[in-house]
Amino acid sequence: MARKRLSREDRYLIRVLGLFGEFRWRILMIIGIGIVGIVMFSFTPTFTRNIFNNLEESFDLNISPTMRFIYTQLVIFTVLALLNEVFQIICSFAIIRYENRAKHELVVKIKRKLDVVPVSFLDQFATGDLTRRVANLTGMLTRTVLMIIYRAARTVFFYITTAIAMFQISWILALVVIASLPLCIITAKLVSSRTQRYFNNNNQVIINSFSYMDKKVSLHNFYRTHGIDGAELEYEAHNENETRANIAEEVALGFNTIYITFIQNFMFLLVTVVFGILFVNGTLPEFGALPAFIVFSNRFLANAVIVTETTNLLQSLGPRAKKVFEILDYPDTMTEREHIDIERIGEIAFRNVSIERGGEKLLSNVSFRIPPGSSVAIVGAAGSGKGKIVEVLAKLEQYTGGQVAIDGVNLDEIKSDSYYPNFGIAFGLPFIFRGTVAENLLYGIRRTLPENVMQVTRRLGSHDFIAQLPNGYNTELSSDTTKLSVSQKQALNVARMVLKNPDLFVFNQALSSSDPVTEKDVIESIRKMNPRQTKIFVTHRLSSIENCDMIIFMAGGRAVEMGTHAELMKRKKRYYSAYTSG
Amino acid sequence: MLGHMQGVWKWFILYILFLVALESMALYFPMFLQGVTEIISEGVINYREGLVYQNQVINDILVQGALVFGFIVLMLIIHIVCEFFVAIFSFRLQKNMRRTLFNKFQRVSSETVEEYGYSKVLPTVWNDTSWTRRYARRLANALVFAPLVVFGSIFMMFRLSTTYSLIALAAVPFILVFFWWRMRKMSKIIPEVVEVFDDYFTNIKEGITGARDIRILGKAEERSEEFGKMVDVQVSQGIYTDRSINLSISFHAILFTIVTVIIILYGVHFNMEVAHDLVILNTILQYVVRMQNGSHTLFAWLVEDAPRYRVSMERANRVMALPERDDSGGITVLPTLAEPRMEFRNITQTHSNGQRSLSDVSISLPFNTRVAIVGGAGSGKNKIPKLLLRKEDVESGVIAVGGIDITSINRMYLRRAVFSYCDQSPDFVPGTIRDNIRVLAPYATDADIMGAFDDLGANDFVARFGGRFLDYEMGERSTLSMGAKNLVNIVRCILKPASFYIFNQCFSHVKPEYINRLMQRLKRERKTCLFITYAQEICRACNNVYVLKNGRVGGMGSHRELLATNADYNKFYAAFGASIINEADMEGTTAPEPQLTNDGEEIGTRTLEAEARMATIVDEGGGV
Repeated sequence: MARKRLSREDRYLIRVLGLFGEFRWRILMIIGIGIVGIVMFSFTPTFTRNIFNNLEESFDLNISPTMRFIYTQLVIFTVLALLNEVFQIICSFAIIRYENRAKHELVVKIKRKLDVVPVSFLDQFATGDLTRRVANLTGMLTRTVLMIIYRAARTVFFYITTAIAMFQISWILALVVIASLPLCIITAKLVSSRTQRYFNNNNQVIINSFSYMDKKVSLHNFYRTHGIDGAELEYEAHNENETRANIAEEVALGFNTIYITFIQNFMFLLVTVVFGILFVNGTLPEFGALPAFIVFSNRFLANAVIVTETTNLLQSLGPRAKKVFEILDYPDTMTEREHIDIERIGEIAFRNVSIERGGEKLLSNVSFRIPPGSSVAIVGAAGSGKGKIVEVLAKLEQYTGGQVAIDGVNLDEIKSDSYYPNFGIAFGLPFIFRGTVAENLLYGIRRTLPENVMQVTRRLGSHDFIAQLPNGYNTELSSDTTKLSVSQKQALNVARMVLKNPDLFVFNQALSSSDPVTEKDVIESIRKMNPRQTKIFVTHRLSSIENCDMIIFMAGGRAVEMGTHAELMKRKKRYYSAYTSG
Repeated sequence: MLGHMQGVWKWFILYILFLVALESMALYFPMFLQGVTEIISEGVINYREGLVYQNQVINDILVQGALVFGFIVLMLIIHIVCEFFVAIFSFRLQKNMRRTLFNKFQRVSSETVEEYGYSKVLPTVWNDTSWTRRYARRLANALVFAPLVVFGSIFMMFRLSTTYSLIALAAVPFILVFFWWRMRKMSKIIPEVVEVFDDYFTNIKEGITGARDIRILGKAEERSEEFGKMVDVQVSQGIYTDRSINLSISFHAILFTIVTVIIILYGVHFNMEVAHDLVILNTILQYVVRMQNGSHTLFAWLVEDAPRYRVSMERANRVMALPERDDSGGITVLPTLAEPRMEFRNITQTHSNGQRSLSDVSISLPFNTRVAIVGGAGSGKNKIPKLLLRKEDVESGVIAVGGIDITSINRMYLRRAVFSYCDQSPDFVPGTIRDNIRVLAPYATDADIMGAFDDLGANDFVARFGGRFLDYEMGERSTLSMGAKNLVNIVRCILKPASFYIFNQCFSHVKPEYINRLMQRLKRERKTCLFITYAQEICRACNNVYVLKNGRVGGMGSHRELLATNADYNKFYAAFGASIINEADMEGTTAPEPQLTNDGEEIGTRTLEAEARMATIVDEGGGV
């Protein structure tokens, strides 16, 4: 039953707790120390009261106060207060340590997860959203969960022991102070429920404003290129809206503090007045009760603030935990079946490979065999399935039927970390990493010596434009760089893959933005470079791939024709008509 | 910061006035309470001596209590007003700062922004301003509230008893020295923390956008390790910061506990002649607590906020110091060019490394002609759009439109009104296809847009969206293919009203059939166009083709003429060969999906502030 009542979000929080499993005994000990500290601290006002009472008695009887007694009381008071501080320091240090260790674990875990989930899963999210989940939410979760537990334990014990200390002195005043607690929490909840709509509204406004700014920054070049500058007006409107919403929210939030301050002052007064009445009519004959209860009430309310803050935080924690765990829980298709290490990539065989998604056949019964060292071109119109073949080979897409074998081993059983070092692919939309041109060229490259870089770029014809950059090979680049044109980025990317020198090289429309002469030249150079390397070229330009050992012509998810250029031309079918129509 | 206070001063001053009023009232509050206690202690004595009735004393207590209650309610009202003023003051300050920084970026060239780092722009404009707003608010508290409370408390204490106050003051120098020491430590750590966090953030972002390449390059493992190290650094710095702050707070509390004890001790030992003393001692202890609050505010600002504030302001200042592009000069209204023509006269241009990129290039673009520039890598063709848009200015020679040198035309006007520029890597604004077309062609109606797609023969493509074509969201990770994006880009460029149409290598993945119909439309509309291209369909339909080779014009004439006379062109044309994209062009286009909206509840700064209050460490940048 209890299990059923737990919502999904609660279970996420329990899983966050699980991160602390390794140190659970130490954490319990820490909480224990914290509790001992707070229990000792709860009783300190009692000693103030004893001193005051002693002083008052001595006034009444007109004798000098019992100094020995007062000193003893003061020493105990000081020792308890100091011990509590020391314990607090120890506890907070230990807690910081554990929560950071847990944070480390969670952050690294989720980061690794992002590296194994299918890329299509990542594509569902805005980059900023994912980045925030990894960078901010994880740390927030681990920190808050442990803090809440520590605080909850301490607060519960604080309330119990303070109640005992208060009841020992006066039950009426004790009840007055205790009554302030629900009053405080209920009103705070009421205020927060009233102000909720401001928060919701503000969230939306802030998201709009932020996304607008985010986009504007990445579109900086676009707006300038087209001479659009009136867009500031729009930002002005966003900024104004956001400011208004923020002010409303800030004031709404401020009500909590204002209200607590009010209650605090009110309790000072109430305690004093009630004490006055009790003192005058003789029910409570000790003056020391007043300073003691003022401190009690003060601490009670200070803890009430913590309680309301903690419950608010706890409420917001569930949805945040969900954002982290929905990533962690996503199955990583890549690792489940992978268990075989390979040394190199040799023969590639597709046997009746199909991909079916939502009733649609993206690839149907494709079969071919590529011997090691050969160069193969896959051509076809867009949507013909050639891209899918490449994605399957890059282990970015799962096939639903048939078999793909690398030297007789099932592709989906080969471990990614033994496959990728032998595999290289150049995409048409290249990614440029933060770093210099040289670093970009050598990114992830293990087999090539840096000296070979220029040799390769010269052969591929990209040396000239690199040399023309402000700092040549040492020019700093980033993913948003405007220093390179699309075709130059593509050229860098191709050079990077050539330098990697993998067993299997896939050229996936990698120079679509270059001129046809360059593309043809580069494809020819790559084809001739390493005779043991298997090359697959995917391109729109048929003239670039005439010299390949085999051409696979794709249409409607099927391999409709296969053969050398000469053979296909002789056959005078679809390849022939496509070739001659240009 | 002061520079951003326009329109804010009024609210700031109102806030300060009300804050002073509020805190002065709060300072008097213990005295008011003391009034009640005095009535109690005197009342009891009088009642015991039979001077008054018990009920009378209780009555007095209640009357005084009611007065104090009125006082508390008044404080409540002033407190609320105060909260309004401080919210207005601090958020308007933030707004001003954001506006200034944001607009600054608009005036800086893309190259300068890139030099500064695109990834740093948002943290500066968004996070740093948000931090500054918080610091400003806390600074006001530290400068006004803290001294008022600390000195006010001491003053009130002095009125009650000089000796007690001197004891309380004795703690102050210790606290100040301690603050100073912590502050120096923190101002060393915090900039490092900020730096590490920026790196860490960039690493994550790059890991997501470059996921495909990273995996295949086999870098995932290495990056994870690198990332783990960053987390380690961050964590250890975080622990250090946390510890420093916690230690400081605890030290602070201990010091005040000791002061309290000494005060009581002193009172007990030396000052017990006055019967009044118990009541006074009670009040003084309350002032000590207030003093502790006040000095804590000051302390928190000095130790925690001041170093961060400095980092934020430094970054903001660095942005403000970025060189701006002067967009103000030049002609902003050209006489309408009834028959626009363009002339490149003897253009010579060098690369930043001193190499020639263009030598003595002359190109003529008469009215109602389509002219193509063809050239391989290193031919200098990429310089042409840069010169036209005045991203670089001509070193030698003249580019004239309608007889006017473009360097005398206002840069933004030139880009906005004279040219319609179709770029090779199109960017899209958040919004629908319609929004994206109107961003360049603001007056295009739905009918114009649909008409243009129809003209290009793209009905089948449009039909795939089932009547919702114009409302299709082109989000950050929209599934539109390169070809489809290029098509939308071409349509918005031909719909934009301009004198000249420049197409820069924007036809990759676009069906030849669309290109042919585009050329027909441009001819029909008598548009003057310049193409930098490889597409043979364009060269065939152009009036004139220039072949660029090594920065020089290597040949000029119609497609047919060049084929017959120019060897380079011939080679080029041979390489065009056949292309296969004539069956379909929308690779990867899937049915339009509802865009995933980022509910982004975490952007709310509010909850972050609550966290910041609960956990004293602040390792996360600003509101985002």
